[in-house]
Parts: sequence; C-alpha cells; structure tokens
Amino acid sequence: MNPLLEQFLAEARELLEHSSDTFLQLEKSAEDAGILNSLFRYVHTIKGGSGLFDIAPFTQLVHVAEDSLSKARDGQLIITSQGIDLYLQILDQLHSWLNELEADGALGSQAQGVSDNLTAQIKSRILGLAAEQPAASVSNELHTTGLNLEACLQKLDVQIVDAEVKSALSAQLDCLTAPASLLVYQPQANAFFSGEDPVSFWSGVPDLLWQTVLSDFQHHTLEEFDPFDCRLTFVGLSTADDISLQQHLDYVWSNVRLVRVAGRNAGVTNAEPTAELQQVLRHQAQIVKHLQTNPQPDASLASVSRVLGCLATQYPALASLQQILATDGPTAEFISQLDALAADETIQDAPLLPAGAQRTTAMTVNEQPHESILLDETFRPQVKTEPSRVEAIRTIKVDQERLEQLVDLTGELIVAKNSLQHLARRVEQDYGIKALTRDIKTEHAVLNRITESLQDLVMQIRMIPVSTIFQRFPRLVRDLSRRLGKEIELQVTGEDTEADKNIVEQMADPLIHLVRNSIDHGIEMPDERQQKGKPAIGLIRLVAKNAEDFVQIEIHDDGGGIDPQIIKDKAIVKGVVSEELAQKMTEQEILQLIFEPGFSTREEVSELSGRGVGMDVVKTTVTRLGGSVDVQSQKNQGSVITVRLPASITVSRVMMFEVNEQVYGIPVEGLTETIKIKPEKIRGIKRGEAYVLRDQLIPLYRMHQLLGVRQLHQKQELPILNLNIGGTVAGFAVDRLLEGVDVIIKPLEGVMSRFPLYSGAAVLGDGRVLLVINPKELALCH
Amino acid sequence: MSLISKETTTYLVGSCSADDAETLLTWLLANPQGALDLKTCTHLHTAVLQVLMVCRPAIRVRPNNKILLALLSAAGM
Repeated sequence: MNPLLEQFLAEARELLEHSSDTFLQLEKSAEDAGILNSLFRYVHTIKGGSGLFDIAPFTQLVHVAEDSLSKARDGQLIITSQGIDLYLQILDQLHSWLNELEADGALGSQAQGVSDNLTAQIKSRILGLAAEQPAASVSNELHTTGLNLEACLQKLDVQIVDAEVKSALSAQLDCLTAPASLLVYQPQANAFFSGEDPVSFWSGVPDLLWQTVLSDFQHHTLEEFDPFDCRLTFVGLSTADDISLQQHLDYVWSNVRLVRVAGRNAGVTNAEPTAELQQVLRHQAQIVKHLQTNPQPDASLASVSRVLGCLATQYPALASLQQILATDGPTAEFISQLDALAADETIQDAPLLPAGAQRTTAMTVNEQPHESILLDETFRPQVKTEPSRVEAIRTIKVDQERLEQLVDLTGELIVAKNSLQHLARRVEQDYGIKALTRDIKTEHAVLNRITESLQDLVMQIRMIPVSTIFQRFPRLVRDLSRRLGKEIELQVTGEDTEADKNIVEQMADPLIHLVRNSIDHGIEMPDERQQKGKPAIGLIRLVAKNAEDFVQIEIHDDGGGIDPQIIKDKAIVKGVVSEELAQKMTEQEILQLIFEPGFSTREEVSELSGRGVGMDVVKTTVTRLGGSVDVQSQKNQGSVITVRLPASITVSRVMMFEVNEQVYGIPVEGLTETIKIKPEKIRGIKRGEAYVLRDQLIPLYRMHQLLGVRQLHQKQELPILNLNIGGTVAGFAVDRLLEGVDVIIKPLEGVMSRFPLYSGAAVLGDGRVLLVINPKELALCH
Repeated sequence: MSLISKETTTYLVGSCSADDAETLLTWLLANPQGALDLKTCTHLHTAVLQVLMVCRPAIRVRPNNKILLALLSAAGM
C-alpha cells in the first residue's frame, strides 16, 4: 500500500476515535469552546489528509462537517443531541470508507450518493439551525452614512496600516450605491501543506471592486523568511451576494470573515463631511505633503485624484478640489483647502500609523520609516489561527509487524539462552570438565539477567491500557440506551489498567457484547425501575484492575438481575442440561449456564442480538486467552460479570514432564504441587482411581491414557502433577517430572490446530518441540 | 519549472507553482539587483507571491494577465 495512504488511514482512524469521544463530551457541555475547538481541529486534520487522495465524496462530507463545526465554534449555532446523532453517523460512515479504502484502494460507486445524502442532512438538520440563529459577523449591516471603517475592520479582526490603502477602501465604501461585502480571507499558516493555494481561491472572487493583500512576516531578515509559511491575508470589497461568495470560497470558508455593507442611496448627500470622510481627506493631504520623498509621485497623485473624484459624487465641495489638482497640481492652496476640509487639527503621521504597527503592505511608501516598526512585535496584527504548538516527540508509532518481530526475536533469544543450561549439563556429564561448566553457568546467569530485562521491556511495549476498548463504551451505551428508550449512566474506573495488546484486542468484541447484554437484558425500562423504587437512570459500571498477573474486568449493572429459576427452566427446555442434573446444581452453577451455547433468557429476540457474538463465544474467547469468566447476580439488585485474563501472554512459565519419552508442558498457573506416591497408596473407586493427600481424597488420572499413548514402564514411585482445574484438584500421573521453564507459546497451526488439548507449542533450548497442554481440556478428556 | 534565469533577469512563465518559490527566493538572495519579467506569467502560487512581497524585486515587465496584474497591484507590487 502507498505509505502516504497507510499513514492517512492510521491517523484518520485515530482522529475519528477522538472525534467520537469528543462529540459525547460535547453532548454534556454543548457550548464548551475547548471541546468545539478540539473537534474542529480533528475534523480539519482529517479533511486536510483526505485532500491528498482521490476520495472526493469523503472530502466533501468532512468539509461540510467541518464547516458546520466552524459555525458552532463561532457561536453561530448550538449542536443538539439530534445533531450529535448525525455527526456520529457521519463518523461511522467515514470509518467504513476508510476500511473500503484500505481494502480496495478506492471508494465504492455508492459513496458519492451517501456523501450527498449526509451532506444534505448536515445542511438541513444542523446548518438549518444556523439560519434561525444567524451569525453575528455575517449579518452586520453597516451603513455608509456614518460608516465607521475602523469598527468594520475591527469586527473583521484585520488591521490595515497603510493610510493610502485605507483611504482607497474608504473611498470605495463611500462610493457604494449597492450593498456589498467586505471580506477577509486569512489562510492558515500551514495552508500550503494541505494543498491549498490561497491565490487561486482569491483570484476568482466575483465582482471584486477593491482588494489588497496584507502580509504578516514575522521575520527580521530575508534569510529567516520561510516562503512556505503562509502569512498573507486577502481583503476585498465585493458586490456579489453572500451565497455566491460562499460558493466560490466554499472550500476555505472557515477562514473567511465578512461584513455586509449597505450602499448609500444615490443622491443622498451629507451637507457636512463625516468624521470618516475627514479622516480620508487627512490621509490624502498627508500623501500630497510627502510627495517629495515618494519614489512614485505620479501614481500617488493619480490615486488622490481618483479618491477625490469618487467622493465628489457625494460631497460636491470636493469637485473643485479635484479640479485644482488636475489643472494646477498639488499646490499650497490645494493643500490648505484640503486641510481645511479635513478639519482644523494638524495632521501628524503618528496617529495615522499606529506606533509599533507592522508594515502591512508595500503601498506605504509615503509613510515615515518602518524599519524600526518592523522589529517591534507588540502591535502585530492578531492572527486568528491558533498558535502552532511545538511539542517534543515523546512517543513514536511503530509498525505492529516490527513489534511482533521484536517479540519473536526476544523469544528466540530466550530459547538460545536456555540452550546454555543444556550445554553446561552435557559438558559436565559427557566430558567431565567442571571448570568449563561453571564458566558456562556464570555466562548463562549474565545472559539470563539481560534477557529477562529485555523480555520485561518487550512485554511493557506490548502492554496497552484497556481504555482502548473502554473508550468505545460511552458511545455504545449512549446509542443503545437511546434506541431502547432507557436512561443509563456509565461509570468507568481503572481504564489505565494495562494488558497485552493481543489480549486487549481480542477481548474487545466479547466485552462489547457483555456491556450490550447488560443494557439490553439487565437495565430495566425507566418506568419499571421507578415501580421497583429504583432511580429511573440505570447504572453500568466498568471496572478494570490488576490482580496479580491477571487483569480483572468487571461489568456491574443495577438492573433486574438474573432469575436462576428462569435460567434453570430454559436450560432444561433447550437441552443444555438434564433435569436431573439441573436439580442438583446450586444457584451459582445455574447462573453459569448463560455461557453455554444457544442460550437466551429473553422471550423476544431483541434487535441487538444476532451480531455473531453470544455469551458462549465470550466464554470461549476468554478461555482461549487463558482467562475465566464468572457471573453473579441478585434478582432486582443487578448482576456482575467478572472476566479475568492474563495480563501478558508473551512468556509463560510451564512445568515440563515426560510421558512415553515425549516432553510435554503444562502452565504453572493451575499447578498446585508435584508429588510422588507409591502405587500401593492408590485406591480403586468404582472405575476410577484416587489417593489420599493430607486427609483429602484426590482423583487420579493416568496421563498416558488421556493422551492415548502406551505406558512404557511401571515405577516404584509414581510422579504426579496435582492440578487445580475449575476449583477441583486432581492428580495426573506422568512418567517423569522435569524442571520448569520460561517459553513463548505459539498457537498450533495446520493439522495440530484441530486438537484443543494442546494450547500451543514452544521450542526448547536443545531444539526439541514442547507441546503445552491445556488443563481445562484435560479435565474434559476424562 | 516556470522560472528561466538569464543573467540579471528571471522570467516567470505560465503558472508558477509552490516549488518555484524556493528557487526564486534563492535567486533573489543571490541577485539582490535582479529583475523579473512576468510578461507571460498567468498565475503565481501564494508562496511565490510571498517571496515577491518580501524581496520586492524590480519588475521589468508586468504581466499581461489582468487578474494577475490586479493581484500584484493589490499586493503593492
């Protein structure tokens, strides 16, 4: 796969996960600016990445979602729970498209239709609300009469320092006879890296009457200037309507701000120049006064003439002034008349050019030196985009395959290390060199220490917090409870508890099923709860904690609980258990029957069932991972399902033993002790055998019979493994007991994978293959 | 590549892309007195426009393209 696409898929998935969580937070605090900012950032990043690939429906949908979030961020609309439903649906769709993209390298033919549909829904269901609560910045009508340009620019969060540019804009506004929009397009600093070319967007803005390009270069020298750091802001006055403008700048609309400016009715004239006009005239006077230092005096004079000409249509007094300029040039009389009109006060440079302001356009040739101003950052125009955060890279992403290779190599190193023990034994036994044996053992000890550290480290790397599964639950609980009409609160504790990546990943589906089951079957409808005297809002608690080498995950609910009688009746009807056996079972044992295949305690088939994961699959998965699952329940009080899983499956300690000259291993977790007993101590009971150990009768099984191999020879003392299987201790007679060893158990493949008796195999230090027996299956063999 | 440099003049031809910005900046830094000919230039990527606004080189021939001409004027070039 294209590495760029691979990176995009990984990042987009992560961002979608974050977005999903953040939307749920937003539901609790709809106007939280921080949450909205995060959401916008996530969606914006996804959009930026998607633009690199030919996935137009994807980009289109994300773009519209981003647009709506931008409006929410600006306070133009409030996202309701119904809105969040739609956003979550969109996130699901995007997720599904990412999967499609990964599998097929492209989106399916239906994608455009789906995208159009969801886009339309955003526009009607979310942006529709915007129309009811119109945007403050878009709807501001500023009238030419008494127009305050400064206020207008302030509203747009833009600062035009150049007096001539400002004058020209002011003149244009004064000449307006129809409504127009003053718009500011401020691309993000990293716009180029998202493939944007702001000039391309700006160049096609329709009906542009006037425009300027402002710059915000924060460098002091040319050498420090970075051409790929976008520091331009485009300001323009257009008579096009908002819809046309938005259509044209749709892709970058989140970076556009505008105010509507109403045109003056033609013929309406103010007898006296307004303050704004006076300011414009002062600027013109200033330009004329500084002509001597102006490298392009003709162009500046032409500009002044144009401005006066425009203003003369509304202020006839200015027509004569323009005439003087045209015929006599910028004479002293012209300047004095201009000053008189502009007001009595002496015009200074400083007030017009805010001290410390940055040079913003090249058209400031008439102004006082700017070099010193350029260095002063105090008055730098505010940049609307968030400051870029430079954070030290503390984590790196590593391809899972490389991690697996590291684990494999560590495993091989452990095996190689184990071989030193065999070597030492051979040197001593076969060659009788004790000194060399000692040296080998010393080296083995050193190697052992290093490999153990390495092994710990590798295991740590593989450990991930269970929060990676838990973070899906808020969404699950919300969606299901809304669909079922229940009110449920989810409490999560211990989400930082860590377990091996494989275990966490493989437990995701079973845990989701358990939580779904609690919502569907456990928590009652609100009215039913109230009748029982419980709060209407049900509670589901997810608790994760470490217990020795295990991770324990508990799912508590305060629902109706499980009725053992119903379970018993169902189990008998379904043939899961015979009536005779059922009568002998304790309540606790009966509850465990829910994990048997094909069991459902509800009369009607709920819409949540049929997802391919049942309680029996939960148990099978947990057992396969070397864990256990247990349910406890009290009628009308609720249930607790406890899942115990090994925290790590990488390295296992197994006890080795020999049967028929073949070496086998058994995990030490279930091993209570190893003993040797004389054959005469074994008693025959019915068809079985047993022995007494510390006044307790222990059933005895012959391992060679269970494994279906011959017993080679009878011994004077019988080596026995005492195993605790499902709470019952049983003895298993073997031919020879060997030492315990750390191994990496690999699942069996091919023909051997059909034998569940073996949980896997490992390679020993001397190269032999060790078959590791699954004690639970062993219990079934007898 | 839309830049053709000849002695003291660089010709910007057709549509100038973002890649041209760095080349142009390097050339302008090396030739502070160098001039530009934009006669046949039809589009400037924003990064190139930034270079022009920062370096402010002499523009020997202005572009024929009206949109580009208006943009340069708006940028004070």
